[in-house]
Amino acid sequence: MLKVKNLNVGYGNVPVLFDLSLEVKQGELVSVVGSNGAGKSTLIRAISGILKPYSGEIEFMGERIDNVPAYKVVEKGIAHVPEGRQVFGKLSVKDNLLLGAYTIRDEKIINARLNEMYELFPRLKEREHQKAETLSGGEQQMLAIARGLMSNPKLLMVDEVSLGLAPVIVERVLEVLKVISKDVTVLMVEQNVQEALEIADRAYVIQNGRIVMEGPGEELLESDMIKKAYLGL
Amino acid sequence: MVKNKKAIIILIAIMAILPIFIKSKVVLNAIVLLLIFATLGEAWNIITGFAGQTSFGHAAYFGIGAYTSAVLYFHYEISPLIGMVLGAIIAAIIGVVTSYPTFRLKGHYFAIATLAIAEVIKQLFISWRYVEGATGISIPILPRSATFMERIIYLQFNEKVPWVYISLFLFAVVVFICDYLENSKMGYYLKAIRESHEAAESIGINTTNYKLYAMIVSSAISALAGSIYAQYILYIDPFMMFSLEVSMKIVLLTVLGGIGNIFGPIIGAAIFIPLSEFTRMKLGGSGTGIDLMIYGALIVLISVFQPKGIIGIVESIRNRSTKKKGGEGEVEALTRN
Repeated sequence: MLKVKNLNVGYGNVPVLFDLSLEVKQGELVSVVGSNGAGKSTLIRAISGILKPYSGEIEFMGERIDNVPAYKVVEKGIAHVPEGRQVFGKLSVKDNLLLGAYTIRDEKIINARLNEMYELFPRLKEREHQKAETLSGGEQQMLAIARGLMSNPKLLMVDEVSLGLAPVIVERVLEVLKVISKDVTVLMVEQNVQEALEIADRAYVIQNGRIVMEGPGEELLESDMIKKAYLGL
Repeated sequence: MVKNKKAIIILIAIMAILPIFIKSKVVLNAIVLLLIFATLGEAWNIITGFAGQTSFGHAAYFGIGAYTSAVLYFHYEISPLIGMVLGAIIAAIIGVVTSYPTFRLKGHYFAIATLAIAEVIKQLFISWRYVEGATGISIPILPRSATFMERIIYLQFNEKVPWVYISLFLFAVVVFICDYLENSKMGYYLKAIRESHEAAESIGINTTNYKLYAMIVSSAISALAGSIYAQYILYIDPFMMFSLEVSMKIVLLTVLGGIGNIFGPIIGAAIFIPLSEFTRMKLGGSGTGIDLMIYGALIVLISVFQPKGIIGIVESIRNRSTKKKGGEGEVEALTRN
């Protein structure tokens, strides 16, 4: 479904990712893990069109998307849940969700999506008229995910879902992602290696802008390198 | 929303009745200026209050509007009514041309760019002979015998009262446009951009385009206000039209009244313009700037105690009174914008 081939990206003159390739197949939950500054968020931003790659290919559903502007990538069926949640703080929860349906024109579909989101996240229904900034961190993360899902994406990309959340909340958010991944393909980027590998079908490990390992999540969890470098075992 | 519309209609009705009771030219003059600056505040509110792109150079569009209608009248005797429309179009074009590259700048850097652009335009006008350079343009005055029709076509009146209605008409139209815009889809997109640029892009909003649309509306409205101002004062020069003081007045009065709220500019202007007219009259030339000093102090107080402006104070008082009524109050306070 998503194929990244020999991708080179960076900010201005500073390269961040080097010849990076990865693949996400329909229906999978794929995690990309790595430490701070490894280039995880850069990867997501390149796929969603916010950053233009220096070279390499990004292909989604058989179509090149590496030179498509960010707002058009969403139309193609990729939703991006940005790092640090970035909900629209001064707008109500409901308005946040409705804005997520930007690419959908049909009001009926929008309302149906809205109700689905409320079913998935009952908490958001309770707070639908509250300003998004008054939600707790975990609730804001749920809102950011729900906002991403409103556009009815084929692929949901989630950037650093655990950032600034209590461990208990992180687990709950990840559980939700696992549930979501039954219907939508999910690509998530995480520095919380243990949890991210546990729920992933497949995973990639990034170090200094290069993929150093890949394989099924559980397999990676067992590997010595992961245990030493990330889990401190 | 419906509440807003009612309040706007009441406000405009009150302003429309005022000239019947007020005969003082000084007060009527203050009302005209107040309405022109409130209109400018509304325009600025669109790009800064809604879309979050801080402009410190709105004097540029104000001046371009004033100059377009004045120059066309001065050189070719074209009616300012036509000049106004052309001025709005030219201002919108210049708004787009200058903003397209500068919208890539974020936050303070964009604000600095707008400041610089206004200054550049001022310098151009100072040395541009076609627009009479630094001497400025004195708009030719109609003879006393001019008929009412001529006065309307050339937008010149000896009395103050017609000006109150002209500026009120423009203000009313602009307020309704802003109210419509705020609750339209575009209004929500602009607010999304203000709240988080990256998230707005990640849900598929073409942020550059929407910021440009906001700029088009904002600069065109500013230009209309500029044309009205020029016809009212009958004399313009680059120093008064493109000055930093005008840009700042627009910013400050909106911030004082309440940024991002359609009633903000009129409340701010209602405090600020009478204040500056009063100090100008009482202190004359030596007192120039006293109003800005008082105003600066007000702004400091506002930003320390109530960043939402006077509207914020009103809202917090209203919220406190609803809270007292009982249980639901807390939720109410949180949901109210």
